[in-house]
Amino acid sequence: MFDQLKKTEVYKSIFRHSYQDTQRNRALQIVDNVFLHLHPVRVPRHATNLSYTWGMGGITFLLFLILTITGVILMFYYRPTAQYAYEDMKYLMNDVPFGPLIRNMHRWAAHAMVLTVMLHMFRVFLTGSYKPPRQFNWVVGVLLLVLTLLLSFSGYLLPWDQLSIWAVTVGTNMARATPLLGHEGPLGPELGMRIDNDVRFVLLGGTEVGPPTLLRFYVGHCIFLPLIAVIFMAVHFWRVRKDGGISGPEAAKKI
Amino acid sequence: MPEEKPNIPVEQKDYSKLYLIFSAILFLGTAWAVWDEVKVRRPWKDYQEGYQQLLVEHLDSLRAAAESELDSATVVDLNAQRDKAVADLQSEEYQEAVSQKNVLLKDLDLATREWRFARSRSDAAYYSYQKAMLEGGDAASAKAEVQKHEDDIADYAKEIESLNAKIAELDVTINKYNDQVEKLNAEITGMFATINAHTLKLERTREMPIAIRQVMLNDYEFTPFQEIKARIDRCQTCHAGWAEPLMADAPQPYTQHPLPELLSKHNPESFGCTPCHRGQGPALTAGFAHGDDDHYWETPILRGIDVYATCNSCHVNETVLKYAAPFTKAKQIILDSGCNGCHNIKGFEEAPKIGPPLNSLPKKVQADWLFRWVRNPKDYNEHTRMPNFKLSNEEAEAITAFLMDVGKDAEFQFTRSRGSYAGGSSARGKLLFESVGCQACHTVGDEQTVRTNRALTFDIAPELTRVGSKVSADWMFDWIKNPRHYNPETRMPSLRLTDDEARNIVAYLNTLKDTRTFERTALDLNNPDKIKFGDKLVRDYGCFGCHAIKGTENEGKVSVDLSDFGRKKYEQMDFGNTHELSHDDTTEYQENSDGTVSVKHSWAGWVYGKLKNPRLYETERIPQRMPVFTFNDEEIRLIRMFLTSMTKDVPVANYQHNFNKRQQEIEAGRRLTQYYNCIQCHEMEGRGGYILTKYEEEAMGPPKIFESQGAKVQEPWLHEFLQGPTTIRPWLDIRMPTFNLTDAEISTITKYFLGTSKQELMIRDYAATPIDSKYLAPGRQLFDAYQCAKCHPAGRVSSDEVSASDLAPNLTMAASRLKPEWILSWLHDPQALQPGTRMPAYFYEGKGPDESVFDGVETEQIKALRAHVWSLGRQRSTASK
Amino acid sequence: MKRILCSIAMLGISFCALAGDVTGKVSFDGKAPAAARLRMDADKICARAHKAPVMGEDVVVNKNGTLKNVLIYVKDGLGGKKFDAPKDKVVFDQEGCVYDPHVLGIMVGQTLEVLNSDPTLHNVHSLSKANTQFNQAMPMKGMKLTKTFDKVETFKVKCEVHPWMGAYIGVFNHPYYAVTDDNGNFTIKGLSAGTYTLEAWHEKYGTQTMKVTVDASGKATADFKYSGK
Repeated sequence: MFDQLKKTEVYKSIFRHSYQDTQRNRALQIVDNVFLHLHPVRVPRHATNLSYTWGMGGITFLLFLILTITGVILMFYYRPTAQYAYEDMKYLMNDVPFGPLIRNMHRWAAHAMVLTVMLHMFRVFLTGSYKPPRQFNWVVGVLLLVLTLLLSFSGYLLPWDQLSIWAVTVGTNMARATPLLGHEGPLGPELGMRIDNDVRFVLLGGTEVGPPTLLRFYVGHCIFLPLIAVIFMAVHFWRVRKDGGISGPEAAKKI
Repeated sequence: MPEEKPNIPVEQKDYSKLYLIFSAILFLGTAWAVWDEVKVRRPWKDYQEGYQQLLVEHLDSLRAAAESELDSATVVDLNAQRDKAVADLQSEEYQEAVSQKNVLLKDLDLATREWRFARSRSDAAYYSYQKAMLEGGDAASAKAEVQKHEDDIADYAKEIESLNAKIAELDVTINKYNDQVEKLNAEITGMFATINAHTLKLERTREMPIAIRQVMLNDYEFTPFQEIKARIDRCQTCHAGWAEPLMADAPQPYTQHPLPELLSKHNPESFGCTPCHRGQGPALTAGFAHGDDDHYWETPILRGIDVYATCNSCHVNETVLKYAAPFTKAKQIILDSGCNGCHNIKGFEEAPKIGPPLNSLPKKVQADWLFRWVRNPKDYNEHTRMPNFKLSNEEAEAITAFLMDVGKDAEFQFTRSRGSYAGGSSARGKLLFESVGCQACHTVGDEQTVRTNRALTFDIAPELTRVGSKVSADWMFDWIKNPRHYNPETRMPSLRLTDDEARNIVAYLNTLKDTRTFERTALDLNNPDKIKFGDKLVRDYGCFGCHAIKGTENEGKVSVDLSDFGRKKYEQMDFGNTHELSHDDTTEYQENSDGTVSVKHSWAGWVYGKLKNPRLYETERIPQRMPVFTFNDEEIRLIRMFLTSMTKDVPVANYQHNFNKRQQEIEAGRRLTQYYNCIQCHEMEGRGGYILTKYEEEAMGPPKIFESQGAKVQEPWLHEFLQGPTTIRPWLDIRMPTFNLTDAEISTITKYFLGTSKQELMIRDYAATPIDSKYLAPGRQLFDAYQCAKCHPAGRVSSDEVSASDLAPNLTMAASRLKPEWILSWLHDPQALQPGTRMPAYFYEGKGPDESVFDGVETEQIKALRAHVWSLGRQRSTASK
Repeated sequence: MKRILCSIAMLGISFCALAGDVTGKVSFDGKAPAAARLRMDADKICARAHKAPVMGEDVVVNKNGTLKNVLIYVKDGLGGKKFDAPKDKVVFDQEGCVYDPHVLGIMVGQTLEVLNSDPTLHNVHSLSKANTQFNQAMPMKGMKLTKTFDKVETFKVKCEVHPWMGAYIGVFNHPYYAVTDDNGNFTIKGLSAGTYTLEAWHEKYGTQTMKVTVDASGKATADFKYSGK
């Protein structure tokens, strides 16, 4: 019966060709697929040894995906204005079915992502996977770490409660001490930096945390920072491939 | 030695078990998440089901009770009757009538149709006739044709009429049968009415959907960013029985909300719940809704008497609320204690100073008494309102010197010669003191009735147990004869004492001495440095907050503004050297055995400690200036409840109470009557009347100012009375004092009485009230028949009628004193207007005892009596007959 | 025949024996306080109604050293049984400006008929707290008023026109009460066998309680003693 199905036009238009289990086809499945082609067609034996890396990088990426998906769902219910932000969060917690679940998943995934990013970083360091030719990838990784932290920071403002506002106040107050760009930093005032035109002002969209800050952080958190993160992640994964695949112990590599 | 595990090549390792375990964990986790969301986070579903069950049980038992009370014999009987009536419809008479009617109806149809055709034909003929007239044809025959048709129409009309008449006749019979059936059906339904009502309610309850119930208050309040926002309350989702009388005794959360009369003015469907109770409206679990689990929610639910705090969000300017006795009492304490003297408090900005002016003290007291008083007022009078500033001897000396200096040029002089007080009898004075009304405000010794009834730890007027050692007898005499001589703004009224009465009272008061001995302290009162130091102290401690002192008229409030104090975070409060009680502890304040104090570190704990001992949080570096009051636990809780209400977060104007001009005038009167302590003697708006329990019979004490006084007395009379009270009830020993009120004050009080009696706030002219002459003679007859004069004098009182005048007011006053419409309500039912009054009711079930006048009809007899009583006053004033 | 008559008589007697009586007297110990003379000068009609001086009835000690106008009633022991109010009325008269009787008992729901036998105005003011207070005028002779009470209470009734007049009404939810007479005796009829708490009430000397047991023979006695000291 299944064979009959395979002969129909509908089936043939969806599945353009049949699959014959040859080595070539196996390779093509990976290489021809838009999602999978970043993966190597073949992996070295040591790559299947979970205990070397514990898949920390992969878990981090998985958490990033979870964050993206839950984040998009949250975006349906949240308005980034001072008038509505807190209310919408409350609405999500009280009214929306499974709202608390989505929000909590997003929150837990964020914390877990920071944790796994750290663990990944420790693993990379402890396995010497920053050594040539992988130095550049380490740098990219550090940038990704910074982006992760920035994403956490910007997301923290979004509930718009006392904790958010004061945490961001303290954080952005640090920005005013930036050299050259902050109005309280070394050489800043000499360059004409004032409270209303320095880098802190740019961050906050004002001289203190207010509605513009919220909007700014929201756009940063949902579009700007994820875009940059995606670009850097692409580079990071591609470099892993190009630099010889997933790391493993020296001895195992010889097998 | 363990066996070597066979070395499986890494690419052939089978992780499927691991994947299975992890998938299972993920699956279970997801299943748990769904179950948690649907069940655990929605406890309100269980509550609603529980409520439904409880209500169904109640209704079931009610229905069962109604069913058992049903007289089944009657039902059977009625059913039988109804069946018989239905069977009667088959009777020959009825059937015959129906068939005849049907035949007639058919005939009627035909006749009507013919009539219509005839009309059409007539119209056509008329056209022909007109045409003939116009064209010069045969008009005559055309006209005859028209006439013929008109005749036909008339014939048919007659036939229709007669048919209708016949049908109507038949209808009488037919309806008789039908009506009988309907009547019996209605009776049977009536028997089951209660049961059906219960059944209907039961069905509705069973079908009640399990759903969230909420109230939305649009545009209710402002966010901190000045945006208007709504409030959403979902409390009724769990508290489903709030409006159900059957749930009055049910356990929480199903209990009915108490005070349905209060709820009818603040309907939760349009008011919500959180405006009064606070809490987190949109939350759907008890912990979050009440704020217990959501630690960041700034307005958790108010428990106990704190719930009355929110009344102040809308009723901030009012001091008496009918359904909020704790609120009323808290504001009474605030007003009486003069908190606004040092603190700016929302709603009390214009409240007057509560203490006497200190500008002529040398004429009143001795310096060493003043010194001891300033050092600790509670030592002289335990219940005085003045708090203890815990001054050192030097400070007290300095202040004494300052006050003596301020008062040295005072203009006050005794008008009578020294010693004019002498010669009174202290025994008679004591009797006078106890009967004429002094005790309503002043306590002496063991007589504690008024103080106990007032139920506050402080008195409104000084306790006189030691007054003989405080002031001279000269001063006492001058004072009680005319208090305004020494202090033009005093609240103490004049009791219109004769010189003899005053002497007796002075003789009595002079015997009340302070029997303790004090060590002599040398006071250096003329030292300019000490005087200057005293001045500085007075300005620092803010004595002018309660007392008018020359030179301090322009000083501001010496302490913090409390108008937003309710929102102060406890993290910003200084707990001094107190220890901390844990949050789980039920006590808030604890005095430890080692002399330290433990206080709960929360807003409520801090405030309790502060009110209990205002110097509690004093440290070496940070002194506290607030003086020490001696409030008891209840008073502290009430004041704390009031402070909870001090917040800038109030709803927008349309949700607030409409404090319009009328309300403002009534409130002004209310505050004035509290200011002059009218409420010590007279019960007003449900509070006061503290002296009344001393009298066994209500009629022997000061009358209660019910919410009918404004409807009772004429405004011009009231004005004169308040200016100079006259005797209305001669049997009373207690006297209404003369308060020396200004015209504006009398007008305020009049409006207050009128306002609380739901009258228009205006003065009417009663002189022109007409008397209907047809009532005069019957009125006189009834007056004699009902023997009113047995109790009410109706003219000048002669000496041998002494006992009659003892019983009731003289009726010649009525025409100038009472409102004419009030007299009617009074005669109808005196006990309703003044419960416990001696005046009996004459009319029973709309009839009077004497049936010869107006056939005993109550309304007419009352009008007649009123006319007669009204004429008594007129006779007197016109001095005729 | 005689046998049948005897047995019927026996049955009758045994039925009577099922319902018991409590009799007793209230004695007074000590010197009776001097009765105050009621001054009725304020109302000539009242003054004229009496040839001899009228004494106050607050403490009436009979010649045999017993106390009159003591209200005796069952306080406890009836076990929550419900009793219907009898259909007959209790008459409360105002004659010669004095209330008659001075103390009376009535049941919840029973009708009190107040009568004014004087050609002068009286008013009946009940100083009750549990029952609705009423104050009704009776200006004509022969006027009648009916009242019923729905709560158990003992309260005073007074007249405002004639302040010396006073009487007491005890409202009960059972028929087991009585007032001592001129000889200080009282009888409470119809109690079934059992133990009861009896309470005696006097307007000046207060209440006293006593336990009494009605046995199978149906008789019991209870004597109270009040002291004037």
